[in-house]
Amino acid sequence: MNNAKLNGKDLITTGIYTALYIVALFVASVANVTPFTFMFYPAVASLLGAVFFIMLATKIQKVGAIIIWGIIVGLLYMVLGMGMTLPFAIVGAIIAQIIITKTGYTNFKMTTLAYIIVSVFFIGGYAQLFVTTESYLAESVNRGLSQEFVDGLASYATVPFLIIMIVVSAVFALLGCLLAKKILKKHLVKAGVL
Amino acid sequence: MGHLTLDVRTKLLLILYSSIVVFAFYSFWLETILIILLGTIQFLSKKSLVSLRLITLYVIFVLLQIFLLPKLTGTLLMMTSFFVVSFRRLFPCFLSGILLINTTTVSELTSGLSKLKIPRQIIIPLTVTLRYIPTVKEEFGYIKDAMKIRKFKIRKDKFFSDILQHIECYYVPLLVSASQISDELSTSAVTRGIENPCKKTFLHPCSFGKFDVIIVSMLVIVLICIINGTF
Amino acid sequence: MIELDNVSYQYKGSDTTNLNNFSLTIQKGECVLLCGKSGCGKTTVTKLVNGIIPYLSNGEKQGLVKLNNQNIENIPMYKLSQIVGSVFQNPKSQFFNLDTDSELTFALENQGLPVDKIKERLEEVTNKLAIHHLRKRNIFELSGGEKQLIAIASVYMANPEIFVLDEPTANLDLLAIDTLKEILLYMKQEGKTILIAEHRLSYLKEIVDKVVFMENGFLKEIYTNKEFYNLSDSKRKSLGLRRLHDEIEEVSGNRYTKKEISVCLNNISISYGKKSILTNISLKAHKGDIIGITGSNGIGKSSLCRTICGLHSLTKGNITYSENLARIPIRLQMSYLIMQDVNHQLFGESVEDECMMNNDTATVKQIEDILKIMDLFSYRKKHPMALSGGQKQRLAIAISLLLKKDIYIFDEPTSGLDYVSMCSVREQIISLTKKGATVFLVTHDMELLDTLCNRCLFLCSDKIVEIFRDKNNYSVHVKRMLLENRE
Repeated sequence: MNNAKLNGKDLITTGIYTALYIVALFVASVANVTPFTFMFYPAVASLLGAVFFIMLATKIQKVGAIIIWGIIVGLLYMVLGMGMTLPFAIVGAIIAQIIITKTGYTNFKMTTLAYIIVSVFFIGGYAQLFVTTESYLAESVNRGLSQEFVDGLASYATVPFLIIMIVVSAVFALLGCLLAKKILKKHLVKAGVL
Repeated sequence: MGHLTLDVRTKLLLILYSSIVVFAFYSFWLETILIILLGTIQFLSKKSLVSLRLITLYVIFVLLQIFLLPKLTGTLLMMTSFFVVSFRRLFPCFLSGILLINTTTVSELTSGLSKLKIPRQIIIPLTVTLRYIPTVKEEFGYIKDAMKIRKFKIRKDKFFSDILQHIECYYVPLLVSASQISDELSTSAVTRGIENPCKKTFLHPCSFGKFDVIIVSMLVIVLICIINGTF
Repeated sequence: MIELDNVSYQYKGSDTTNLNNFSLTIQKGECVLLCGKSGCGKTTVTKLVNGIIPYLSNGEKQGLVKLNNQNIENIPMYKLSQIVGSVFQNPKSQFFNLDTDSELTFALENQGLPVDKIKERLEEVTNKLAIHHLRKRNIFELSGGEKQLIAIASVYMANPEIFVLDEPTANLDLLAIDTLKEILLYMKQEGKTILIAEHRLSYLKEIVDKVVFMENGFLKEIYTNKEFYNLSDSKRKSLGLRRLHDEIEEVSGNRYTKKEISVCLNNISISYGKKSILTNISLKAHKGDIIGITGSNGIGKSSLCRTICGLHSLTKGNITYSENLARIPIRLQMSYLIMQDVNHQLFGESVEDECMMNNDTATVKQIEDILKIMDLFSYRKKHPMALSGGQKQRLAIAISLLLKKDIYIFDEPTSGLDYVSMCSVREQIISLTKKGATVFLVTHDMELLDTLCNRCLFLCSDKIVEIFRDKNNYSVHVKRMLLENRE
């Protein structure tokens, strides 16, 4: 285990890969069009962002980079109106960091696992919907959401659906990591970037 | 009188307020007040900054909600109501975000965050992230051009493999240049003493002025009113 | 002041030693130029002096680098940064801030200097370097030259004793190089020590005291200014160096120009959104022409190029190719743009794969032949991004040959290339015209412009002025016109 502190270069590198991840989030926001795909926005985002997470985890083999990434991404979600994501993102990132650090940073399978976990945690932004389904929905009606829309959401907001969301996010995160691995192997290793 | 300049911390508070208070204690009036307030601040800060488009869009959304939505049914209603309602809720966030991004320099943000005792380990990556996003946008444009010249297309019969190829074509150059730029940017930052452990000074240190006091007290009053159920 | 004693260095992952037993002493107030081909080790020397090696580079180092008799490795990086200021090649990637003022004060803020002192110094530097017009600007609005000027000024702000510059002019135009020259002269007068690694040599004639010529990681020769700038033209070519004097005649006159008209711009106007860029531009180009396009920064050279090759639409007028109207799809079909940063246009997993991508007509034999011509055959299994700058450019050309294009547009093909690579780019471009292609060339590299183009155009927002070669080279006229057109 490497206990060295993050130096200036590590912090800058973290910032750069986080920026790329955030751009991937913007690209993924195409998913926000219908209530059905809206629920899977975090999944699409984790699919597109995976490669940047893997790069970050591989490039900076020190404690902290992943946590910082989680905080910044959580802050972004907050600016975009999903404030609930922040605490979940931080907890998820800490768990991911522990897994990656404990397994020595180069274990691709464990890094993938860490990414799947943190991606599932990002669903936390929707936690309001599941934890207090009824009050949230009632509140949503007050906010001027149409009853029908809320019913649409409500039909998703059931335990089985929560499980589906988690599974889909996990699968998308896994697919993202596999894609990342392919790109890393096919291009970046040969190009001398990694 | 010069332009209105606010402390970074006030701008951050506005973002926090837009994203938390508005969601926790929703009311239509609160939202309207906040939009007017943010519009006014933008106008006073820099005339060109006013997000007229966003505000117009906001008004259109409100009108649509009042006049159009009741007349729709079924899937159409689902689709439009999502845009008109859920998207609209984000407008205060957008406006305060635009205010922060367009009126704050990286160094001001750094100074504000350091005053809030946020550690360097978060400030540096955060500022780099903000600095690098426009660069990524620029590179996106170049890659798009290059793909056009090489005739990369998404064909219907090979939809998935073509999409994958597209994603790959964006990823590879972006990652190669990210790795290069992170090296070069680190080199340039390190040779200009970014790792100096001493306390940084700021050319434009943030300071709480009378406008900040006015705005913060307005926000507090509104919050108290909400909690008391005035709105 | 600076002492390198028998230093060797090998980068991590490199097969050979990148610097071998290098010894050099630099006195206070001296200006030393490091020159040689790409990969000769000159950048390594600059990195040893500013401490980047070993701080950010984990290779193998032997020997001692001393600064004021102190081992450089024992000085913490942030302290070293107050003594040695560094300017790098790529202006795009050395900014930490998005606005110029914060960038200028960055180093001093890091040092924790009192605000009054910073303000005072900011005004002082603004006046000394005459950068009033660059204050309070957004980085993304600046041209490459202006960015580099800010980069130098931001280093100068901290008032270091030593300046280390690594190819500072790679992306600069003529006027920006002139400004850089003035600043360097000024610094020298102030008694600063300057170490500069560079391909372009002519502008340094009045500045350098000592020239170090390097090859394959070895120090080959140390010249005095007089010895170096009196080298004969054939000698400097044999050393693989770029021209030492701007005035030398090297007319090449074009060889393969034909009568047929290939590209014709008829009264075209271009705009981005509401902003008008160019109005009523007309131009006729013949097959085999190599046309240099010059003009002030931000005047619309790249917009013009993007329009000619079909990446941007016209707001007025039309473009014909071989006297047939060429709309966007046709332009995209027939023309090819080689970007300044070739990294953006290579997507394959190997050189071979790159050639086959989106190309159903090219046969294996054709690809092999073209790779051989381009001297890339032995690299065919390599990843495109692992190639050197010059090789990447040749690969981009190889792809365009396989796609059988007629019109080529090169955007700064030689930025940062050494003499040998520049010659090779030149040969490739000439061989394109042999086959009847028309080449447009946007470049700041006056050596390339003078020795390659058969026509030279100066772009203004509402007209194109053709520059003719007389007893003076194109570069002399371009410089005059740039000065005339400066706001």
